[in-house]
Amino acid sequence: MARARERWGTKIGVVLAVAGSAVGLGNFLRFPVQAAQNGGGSFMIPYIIALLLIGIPMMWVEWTAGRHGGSFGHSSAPGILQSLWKNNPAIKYIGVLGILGPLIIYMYYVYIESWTLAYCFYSATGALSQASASDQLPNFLSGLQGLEHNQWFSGMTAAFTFFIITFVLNVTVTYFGIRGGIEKVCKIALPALILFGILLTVRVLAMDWSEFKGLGFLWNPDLSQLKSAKIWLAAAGQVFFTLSVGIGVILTYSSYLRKTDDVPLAGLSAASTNEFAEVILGGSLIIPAAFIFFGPENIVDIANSGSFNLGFVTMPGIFEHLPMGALFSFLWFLMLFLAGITSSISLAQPLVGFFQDEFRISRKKAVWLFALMTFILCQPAVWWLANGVMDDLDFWGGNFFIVLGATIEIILVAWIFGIDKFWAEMHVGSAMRVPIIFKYITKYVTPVFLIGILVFWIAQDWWDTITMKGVADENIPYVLGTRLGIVLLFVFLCVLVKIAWSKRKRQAGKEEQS
Amino acid sequence: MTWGGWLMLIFVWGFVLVISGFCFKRILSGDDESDLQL
Repeated sequence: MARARERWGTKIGVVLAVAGSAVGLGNFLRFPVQAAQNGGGSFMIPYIIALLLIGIPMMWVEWTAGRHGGSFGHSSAPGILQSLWKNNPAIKYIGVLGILGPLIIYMYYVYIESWTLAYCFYSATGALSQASASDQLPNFLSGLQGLEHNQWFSGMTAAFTFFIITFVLNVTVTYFGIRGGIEKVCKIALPALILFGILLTVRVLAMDWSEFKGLGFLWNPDLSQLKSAKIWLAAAGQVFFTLSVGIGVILTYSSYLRKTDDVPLAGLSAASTNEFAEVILGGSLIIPAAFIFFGPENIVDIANSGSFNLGFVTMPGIFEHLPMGALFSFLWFLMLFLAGITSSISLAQPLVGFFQDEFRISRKKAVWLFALMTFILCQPAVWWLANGVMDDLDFWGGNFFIVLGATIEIILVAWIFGIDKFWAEMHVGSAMRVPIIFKYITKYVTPVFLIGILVFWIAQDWWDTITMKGVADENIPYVLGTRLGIVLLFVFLCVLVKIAWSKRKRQAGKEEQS
Repeated sequence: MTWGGWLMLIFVWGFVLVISGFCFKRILSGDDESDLQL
């Protein structure tokens, strides 16, 4: 007998949930650094082009594929990909990447998210102000992470406590389901984080009303840089990572849509909400604030100091020097926490949905199983942060599998499922007609772009990481252990897929007999 | 900020705001909880 699957409650709810998944720490920490390092205003030209050629087509591909798979009762990539290529039994194992990727990201993302919660707390208690006054913000962060013992932290107690709180919050939201948990939280959290972002943007721009030099650093174009392939690649990469495409999360979220829901409109709305948070809010905060505060001579070093340094050291440092600095610091970290939690709850759903739909178990049981598994899996990133575990997880989950997954997905939809079928499927229930040019972009341009990015990144940027170049000798066992763990996890998920499909086959046989 | 900077900012912000406005106007005008019950 067919089971009643969960569904989204409202159209705005699903758009905010997908946008919440896409709006994460990267919008506020990664985007401005990428723009500042790659030509400022001129970076935005390839960025917009990549948004039109990769980002939006990939959004529509994922929404369409997810809803199509959902109509067969699947809510995770193995089943969804199988529904697109029915006579290929191996495709469901490739679909395991759509569960493995989010799981790997979840293993370290929740811990980073817990730092933002900790910083909210320490902004409110005044500890952050004290650290800032004594120029100790870098030590404060290292102390919290357990990398050094200092006057602020003498061990991992605080970090682990905030990790547990964040983990429990995530599991609780997931426990209440698509409509009662994820949708409700995103309907509050996303507008709230946008409101906080607007308040912070106004505060930062008010530091420089007369000349807008800070904004100028990010937006003044240097058109000569457009000749560099590096900028085009950086822009394509940023668009790609910011929209959460290729991970498997949008596939899962859109599997809970109804056949009559407007996929082109919903996909475009989620993408545009993410762009609002990234370009308008993300582009007006860190880099402009750092430019105004530290001046043009230091800004390049600051932009190169890394996203964590900018988010957890530079920004509170700036806010603490302003009137009501603790309040703005608190709002900054609360905004990051909300951006983080709306993303992490989306990372949980592919595995929870897989347990629910492929093993026919209740959501509550599926969430307990997920919580038990991920609580154990999160520990290496918490305890071996200094040994490169988090960086390696980020490379595989947050970079490699995303690009690989998206490349497989676009080829599968545009070439194997068929572009005409995709086009017709996408427009079912839609009041909006997508311009026909996007059909050809999806079939030819997006796959070529993605294959190009994958090959170029492996050759240029990733080979050193894959071969562990630059990893300290004492960290090699940890990095190797992380990679072995990822392989074992992949094998374990493949075994689960095999069991689920055998069970499904037996069930179908029994139903036919009866 | 230079004229080029302002031009880029207005173009990109305008692009994002127009698309967001268009989408949310359509979504909010057509949203109805009552027809989306399980």
